[in-house]
Amino acid sequence: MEKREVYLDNNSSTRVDDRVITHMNKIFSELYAIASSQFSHTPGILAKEEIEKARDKVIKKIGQDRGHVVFTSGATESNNLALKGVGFANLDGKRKKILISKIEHFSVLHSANFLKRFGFQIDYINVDGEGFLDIDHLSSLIDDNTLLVSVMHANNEVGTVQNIKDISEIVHKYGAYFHVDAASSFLQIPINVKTQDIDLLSISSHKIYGPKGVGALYVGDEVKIEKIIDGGYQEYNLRGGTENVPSISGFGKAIEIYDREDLIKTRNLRDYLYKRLTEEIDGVLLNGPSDFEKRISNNLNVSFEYVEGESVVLHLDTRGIAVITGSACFSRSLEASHVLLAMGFSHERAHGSIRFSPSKYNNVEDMDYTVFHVREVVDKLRELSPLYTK
Amino acid sequence: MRDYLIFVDCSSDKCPLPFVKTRNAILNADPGNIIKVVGSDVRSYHEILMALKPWNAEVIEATDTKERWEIVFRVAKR
Repeated sequence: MEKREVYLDNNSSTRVDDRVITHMNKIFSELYAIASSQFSHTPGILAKEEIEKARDKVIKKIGQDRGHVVFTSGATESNNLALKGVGFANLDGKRKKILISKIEHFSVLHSANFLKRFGFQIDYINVDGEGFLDIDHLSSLIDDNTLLVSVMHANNEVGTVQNIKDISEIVHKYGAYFHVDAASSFLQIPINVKTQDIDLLSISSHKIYGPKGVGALYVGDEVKIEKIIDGGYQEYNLRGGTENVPSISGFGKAIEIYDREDLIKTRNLRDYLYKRLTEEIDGVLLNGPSDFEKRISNNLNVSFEYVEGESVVLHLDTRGIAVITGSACFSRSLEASHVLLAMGFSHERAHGSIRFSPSKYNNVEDMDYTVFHVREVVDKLRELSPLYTK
Repeated sequence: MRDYLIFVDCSSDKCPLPFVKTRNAILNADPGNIIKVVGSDVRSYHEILMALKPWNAEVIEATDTKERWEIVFRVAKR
């Protein structure tokens, strides 16, 4: 089989759409002034207008009619601003408890951990074996001292999509703020801050074929929050620093051209890949929701019995296939994915997990090529395993 | 034994580090360079040999004793 380059790590980051690159190049060349108010020079006003066009596109997609959309350097900064910004603004209040799910992104987990230094109590909400939030556990943890609850819309590793409305009803019964990290789900799964009653929403550009280094945080009108990056009065005085006009505009362009037909394509590729993997290889264990309607459309996470994920990743890489594992051995921490462990999986299964995430740039031939090589790699690695018997 | 140009010492490394170091050595080498990798982790020995085929590398010599293994190979044209 002729070697191909197959990129299947689109839950991490997507290739930037050529139309976005073309658009951004134009902005780089033509709108290079610092974005400024109507009382300044014309190039600055035009740059500011470009930012506002992008902001309008975000606003339309999240159903905002109150509050602000603040552009940031990405969802990690958005999450930092949501947690630390709300924490710092409420240091003197009586609410000192913050609840987050056990499967949040590190930017939420570590921001929450940071707030412990300022007297906040952090409690972690359980998830079930498919990654769904344990609503009963949330109900048992939340009380009138809870300041903020943070839950991701869709998990970046196993793709589980949470029922946001059910969670927000409980959170608001106790008067707490509700933050949703929608970095992995934005545009894939409809989200509406109004109807789903969300106070803070983090989104990202580089998972929707937009540029890296740009994202946004929606902040509801009633949220008491303060900036964590001091500077000028940009972004409603919630994020100091010169606005990254080309990237913000590129983000807007990526939103504008996002095509739901591409979602259907990636979902079909994902389903086809799973079907063929399970047909051709024994001992394939699905991680995450078995109901594929409850996971983001381009996520497939499986473990191969008797095989370590890191070995599979390395061998597939030699064959031109880019995937990732839930094993963190690459980062030398020698720890398995906190997401899979929180879902109750053994270390062996967590270390064996592989995430395949196709994009609109993949095709059926890519999936066939992947299945062929996964089967070969898994078979050979099992031959090396003392535990495996056919 | 052929002369080698690049030496990768994985004597005290466990899987997957020997594999990773070998891959990095290949990425930094020129086509035709000869690389010698030595190590002690048995699984890595088999995994590196397994990977040399898709890398189109030419194995010149591979020896494995209980305590130490060596693989010498030529980097393929890209």
